[in-house]
Amino acid sequence: MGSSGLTRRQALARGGAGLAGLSGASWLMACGGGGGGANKPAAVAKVAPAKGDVSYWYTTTNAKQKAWQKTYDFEAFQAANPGIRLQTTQKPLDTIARVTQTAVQAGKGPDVIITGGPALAAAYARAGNVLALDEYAARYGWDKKILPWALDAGRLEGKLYSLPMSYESMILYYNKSLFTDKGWSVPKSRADLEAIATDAMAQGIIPFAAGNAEWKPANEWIVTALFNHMAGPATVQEALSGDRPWTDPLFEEAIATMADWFKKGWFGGGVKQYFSNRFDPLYAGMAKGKYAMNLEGTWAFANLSGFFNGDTEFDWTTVPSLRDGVPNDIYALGAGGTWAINAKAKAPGAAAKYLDWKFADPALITKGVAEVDNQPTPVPLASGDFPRGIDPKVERFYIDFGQSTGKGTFGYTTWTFMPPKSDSYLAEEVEKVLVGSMKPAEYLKGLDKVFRAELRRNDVPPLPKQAS
Amino acid sequence: MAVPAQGRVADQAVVPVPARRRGNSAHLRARRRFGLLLLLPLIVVNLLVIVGPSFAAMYYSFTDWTGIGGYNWVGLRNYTDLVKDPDFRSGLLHNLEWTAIFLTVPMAMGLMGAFLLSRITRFRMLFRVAYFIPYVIAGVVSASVWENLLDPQQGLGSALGIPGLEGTTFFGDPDRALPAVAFVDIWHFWGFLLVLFLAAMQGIDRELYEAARVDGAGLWREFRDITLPGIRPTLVFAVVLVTIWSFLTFDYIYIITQGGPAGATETAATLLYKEVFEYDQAGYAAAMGLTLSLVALVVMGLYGLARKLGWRV
Repeated sequence: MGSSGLTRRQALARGGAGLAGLSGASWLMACGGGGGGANKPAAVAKVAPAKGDVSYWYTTTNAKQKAWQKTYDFEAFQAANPGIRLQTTQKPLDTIARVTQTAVQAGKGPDVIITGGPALAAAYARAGNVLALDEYAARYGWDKKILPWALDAGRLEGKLYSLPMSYESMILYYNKSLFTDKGWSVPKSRADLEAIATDAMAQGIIPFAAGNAEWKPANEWIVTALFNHMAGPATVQEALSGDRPWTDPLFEEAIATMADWFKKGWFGGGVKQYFSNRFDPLYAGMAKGKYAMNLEGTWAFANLSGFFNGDTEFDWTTVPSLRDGVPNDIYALGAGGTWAINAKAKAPGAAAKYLDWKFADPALITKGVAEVDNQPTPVPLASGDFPRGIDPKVERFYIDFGQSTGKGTFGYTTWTFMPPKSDSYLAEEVEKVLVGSMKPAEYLKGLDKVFRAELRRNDVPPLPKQAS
Repeated sequence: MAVPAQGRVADQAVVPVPARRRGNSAHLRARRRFGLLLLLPLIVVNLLVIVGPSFAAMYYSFTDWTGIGGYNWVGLRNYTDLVKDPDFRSGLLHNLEWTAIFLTVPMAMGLMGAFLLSRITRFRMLFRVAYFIPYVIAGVVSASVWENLLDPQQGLGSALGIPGLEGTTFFGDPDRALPAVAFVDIWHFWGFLLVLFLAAMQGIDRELYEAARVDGAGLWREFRDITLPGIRPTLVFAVVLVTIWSFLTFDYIYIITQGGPAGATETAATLLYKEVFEYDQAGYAAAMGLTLSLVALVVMGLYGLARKLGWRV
């Protein structure tokens, strides 16, 4: 794919959404004695000393981030921890999850494991492939260093097995210069949004830069936005908890609205065009005023800034409330990939120390955000933590996000809180709704069926609770 | 006289021949052992990467293995689910469409191209190389090139303002996506068939063509009555290969459309991949893979049967 659009977490999740290669993995598993019979109970770590060798397979999205990571992560950690020998190996972004999984199933793999998200980390935990981290959490005070919702997402049956690598949310980007020219105000409701979209279409401007030619699951971004901001975060929470079916009329309204907006050509210029649109031309088109807005995750800050270069300016806002009763200014929580410690790690204490390093210094974390567009690990951030020169739009997001979610009002990104099969179904089958070969009700019925099966198997990651 | 002479020869031969045979057979045995020794690494590799995983996949096809951790024995459930799976049926239907396209378009292009090339001597090698080059280009490269060329906004159609192509979506249109991806794969593949057929055509006795020309046969009759029968075994072999490959097709579809839009290009192999890597159903996917292998076995079986029955294929 091109340079834009795909986040590391999403690539991890899709690239390995779980499963090892049919032939290779099964054979390795057979050789390695990884399978057979019922799942093993998850291993529990004893607190081990923070010394020894730690192997880590990592991936980066570009050369800038790789160089930064080498200097400020690997080498800096090594210098600060002479008793630990960190051995790093780079793996391709789109295959690291699969390669790791195959190795872990064969009883090998790195000491610090990267997975595509909490649900996949839980699958490792159930298989006994990763260690419980509660003792280390207590030792290093992770409950103070890591945002509570993000830490909780790594728990399974009360035990902590994984730590989140980054966090993100869905927001609405808009071409600020175009909005000023056209006299449009930042939308705060469904009516506002639809009025702008209608006006834009009348003037030959496509309302939303959208397309999935390079990243098919981009469909899911829009579903997530509509579920959280039209059906509402509380409704999504109830559905994810199993207390409300996905066939609920509120979800049906959300999917029907999505289909309707696509039919009107609001997303990328029409359904067929949407399936053909690539990221870079979309961002370039948005900078030129061909598209007015973009409903995308916070990873797109880095992509958009490369296309808006002085003549035009973009800005962002929270996704507006799309139904009466759904609050404005809420963020859907999105955890990036996760880190876990291999049950076979020879020096788990050293591995835990390395994980702690990832959350220890907010100034270093924000330095990465400012210098190479890193997505930060989920630590509480305040204004003073950000270096000079950081894009104020980016800083505003992270501060707002922390404050808003700290109050206990937030939504749930589907790629973080949906179990793997349901998430894949949600992202792929919605295309049938968009082309008109499936009704929203039928789509949601299928989603509910897949989700119920995963819920019964306890595959749904723990949900951070809304403030009552 | 002849008889005693023969007898003498025979008598003379009686003693030395067994000695030579003993020597020969020892030598042959040593050669065979050496040959087997050379093959051993390949056999070991095949055992590891083909036979082992095949048996493992067969075993897992009767389980509910997700790909991580343990599993339970589910008997034939995966296979019964497969029969009822509308996505798998739809995937197989796309495989049939794909097979139909590939048994006609590239086969016709390969035959036609090879026949025309067989009639020229100047620049034959140049053309042969030119047509074969796409086959040696990595699939991901040629797929990306065509994705860009056929892009509705930035592709050839828009850049050159070609009527009918400008703004036309190929891979994003559910009605056009499968033939569009097939087109890209054909562009890459047909040169292979051309070279295959050309090599076979060069084995046909030239005198047959000269005799036909003397009898007043035209190009079409030469092609129909001499060329086609002359390359029949190669042609049948190509049909068998193309059929098997069509049921396993994966790379171009996955690179360009990943089975979309809305499942319009989903084939059994792309679905299998998703079952493993997205839906966590490694056991089910194993059943799917074995079913596809069965299709290949049936095709190979029919081919073998035809040969056994003495058909010249």
